[in-house]
Amino acid sequence: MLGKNRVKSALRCLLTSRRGTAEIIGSVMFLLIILFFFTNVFLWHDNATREMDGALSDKVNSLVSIRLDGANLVVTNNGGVDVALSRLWVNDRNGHWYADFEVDNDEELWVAAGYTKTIWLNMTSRSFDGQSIEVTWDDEGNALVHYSYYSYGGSVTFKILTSRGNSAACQYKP
Amino acid sequence: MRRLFNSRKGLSPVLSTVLMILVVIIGMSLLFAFFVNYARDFQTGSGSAVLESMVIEDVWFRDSTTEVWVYNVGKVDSRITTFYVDGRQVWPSDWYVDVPVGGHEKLPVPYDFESGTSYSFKIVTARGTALEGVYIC
Repeated sequence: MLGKNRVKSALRCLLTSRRGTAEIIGSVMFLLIILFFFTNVFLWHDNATREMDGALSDKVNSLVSIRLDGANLVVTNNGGVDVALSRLWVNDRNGHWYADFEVDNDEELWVAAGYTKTIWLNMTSRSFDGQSIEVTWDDEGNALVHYSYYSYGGSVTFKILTSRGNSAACQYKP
Repeated sequence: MRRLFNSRKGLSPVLSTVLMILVVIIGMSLLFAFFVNYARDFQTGSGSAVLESMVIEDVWFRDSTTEVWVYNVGKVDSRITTFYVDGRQVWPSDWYVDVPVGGHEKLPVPYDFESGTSYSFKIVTARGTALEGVYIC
């Protein structure tokens, strides 16, 4: 009985006394401000991680393969996500060259999911600008790469690189 | 009115309250400025390592010229600061190559390679992201 009364009076004292109210409110607000700061960093990091997870998922789902079909290179998108082709590397015994397909936004070589895209090779001429092979485009958005391998006599490796970082290679052997 | 201005009673509590508010404002401003800088440094520095992604697109061994081409497929510009061949650092400490988002860059490799031998390449960015590959000369 005595203990119960003591608890009651302590509770009453706690509820009626206004001492320390400012400290409690101040502490809560300080904690809220700290929480706001760190939530900001956490949300940014979480968003960045999700963004990269999406990019990685797209990369895994857009694997490509390449084969030589006469004077054409046929690129197949074996994944379920469309992909843009970034660059074609050509390695022969004289050097290594590249053809850029991402010169500007209007001229991009997209391969739809499950579809193929043909890259035409100009077998009559070779045109280089330093290490870069000239690429011309027709009205339908097809790319003509000015690289002829017939006159070479050596093996040539073609390697395609997608804008998501996947690559595939094939080889021409005379 | 005259009494209000002439009386000095209650001056100390008013002054102390104003001073306390000033101290709190200054303190919180400093804390906020520190945090904004900290968050910005984190986001542009080590924090954005998660946004880095690069691939080695081509390696070319020929005579004394060895070229490694990298492609930045990440979401932030990267700076390559270290190049290892078989665990040995081959770049001087002041060398670096900046690779913008979507950019292709050529990395020089000052190393004597032997034909027919395989080499392990490890490329490290300033944020600590590493990409590796094994290539046969």
